[in-house]
Amino acid sequence: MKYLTLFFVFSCALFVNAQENTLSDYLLFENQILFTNAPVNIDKFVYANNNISNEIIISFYHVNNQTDSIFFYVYNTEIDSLYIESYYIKNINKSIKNDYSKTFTGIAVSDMFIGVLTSEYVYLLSRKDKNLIYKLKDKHKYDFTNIDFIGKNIFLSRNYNFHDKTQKNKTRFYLFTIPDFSLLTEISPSFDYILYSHISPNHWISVNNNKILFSNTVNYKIIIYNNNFEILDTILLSKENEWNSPTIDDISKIQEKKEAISIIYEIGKYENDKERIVGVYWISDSVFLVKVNRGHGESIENLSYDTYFDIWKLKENNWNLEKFHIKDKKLSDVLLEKNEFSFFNCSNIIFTNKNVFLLTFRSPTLLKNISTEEYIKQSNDYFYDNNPIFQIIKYKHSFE
Amino acid sequence: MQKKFVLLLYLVFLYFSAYSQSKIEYNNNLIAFSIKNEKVIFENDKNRIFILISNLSCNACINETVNKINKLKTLLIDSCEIIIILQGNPVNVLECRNNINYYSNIFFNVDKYLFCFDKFENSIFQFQGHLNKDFPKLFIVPKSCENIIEVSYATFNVEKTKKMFNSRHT
Repeated sequence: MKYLTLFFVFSCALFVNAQENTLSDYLLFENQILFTNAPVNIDKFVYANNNISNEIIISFYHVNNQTDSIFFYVYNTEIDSLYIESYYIKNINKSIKNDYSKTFTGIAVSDMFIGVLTSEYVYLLSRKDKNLIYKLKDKHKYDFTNIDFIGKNIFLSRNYNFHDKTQKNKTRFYLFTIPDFSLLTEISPSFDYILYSHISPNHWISVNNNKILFSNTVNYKIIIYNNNFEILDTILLSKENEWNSPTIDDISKIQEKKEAISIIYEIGKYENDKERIVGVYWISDSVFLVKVNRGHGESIENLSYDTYFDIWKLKENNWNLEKFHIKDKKLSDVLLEKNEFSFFNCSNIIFTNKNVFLLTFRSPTLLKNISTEEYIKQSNDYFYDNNPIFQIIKYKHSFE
Repeated sequence: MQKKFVLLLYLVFLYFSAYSQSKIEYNNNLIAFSIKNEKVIFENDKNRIFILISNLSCNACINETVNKINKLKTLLIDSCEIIIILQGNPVNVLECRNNINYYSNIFFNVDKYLFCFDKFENSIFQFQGHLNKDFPKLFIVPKSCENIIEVSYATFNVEKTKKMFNSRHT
């Protein structure tokens, strides 16, 4: 009997251990905010969160609107309120008409300013006066891909495999003053394989009020910079944790390709059972998440990904891997009726120290008090005849 | 002189090969599916262009297709129907709807958005068997014509298509 009990306890322990750690363990559904009047430009909307106050701003600006008026939806993350701030930038529509993206490359927000990044200019808007106060000419000078406010300055960066042969550094960080854009400092951080920048969405840069997280992709290496671009920490994965990346030979074959589309196809050949960092996200000064994709499929035609998140915490001046590979389940794999939730493979996520916000186009069906089967049925019935509605799904999280 | 002649021959060859057409016989094989997974069968009763867009079609290739289709529509006004056929999954209706929305923001002269969900043997609209670099693929179906002309976006010729359609337009 004693042995039987021991066997039972041992089996239970093994079973518990084998249970997959999922995001649902960290998420509590709070709200679902529908933007019923927002446009349905699902191809590109841009968003940013204010690192100081409780705001998320979203723009659905698209060149087809043929207007120089820009509207930002300002969402208060504490009280779930929503209002619109409008601005006018003369000829902005004309300037992005020939842009590949047909909209903004990115936006940033602080209490005083909104930054708008296009391929031709960086615009600085005053929130107090609701007007344009500065524009910095870019157009192949910097080729910025990211914009953020950090401390009292503006952090602009690029990390993309631009084909311009004259461009020496494809990864470069710049720090400018506000509002006159004097260049304070610039560096060329190392990024392992810039060819992977053709795969989007990616979120290799995360900025909080005074620190920058910058990750590699094939290699599990994350650098933390201060707001003056000095390296504070380098975070590597311990060998105890399994990490499968493409071989040097695989990478060499990818590097032989020159055009973006050929590079993407070639990368697709080496994603099967391989892992890559696709994003890093600050939760607070002492916690951040790493988003990892693991591919399934032999070619880009049949490729799918499982997504995982790792939690890193700062303890006694050391960054420790708190949790490794928490699975982000697909909608069909969670049980909404049992209050299971996930990020549903949503790529547009904002974290604060308390909440996580999924910015997504879905049916207006509420995720709460419904079974997964019924949610999918109601959503499908809705999509047969209607467009999805932009919404923010708000969870309380326990990553801290 | 001989060099110039060879060059001229080469240019003539390029001109003709630029619109290299692969002809398929019309055989009630213009079949696609609605977002609700309902089968839609087309006749050759109208001038039509079917644009087959794979999920892996490159953006520059799509932009080139948009420009050519816009030009064709301007020239033909309403005498030609444009139908886009997308890749999708009948179970994932959101993905299908998102795909429609995405292309609605890019193309402006489209009459219908349909899907080729799985390999459907009787349909000429198949994603398999084509090179990725050739997408979007266009199927030109002139009214009452027994031949369907299959071209890649790059070799799609607006003027030639216009002439083809006008000769069949009543």
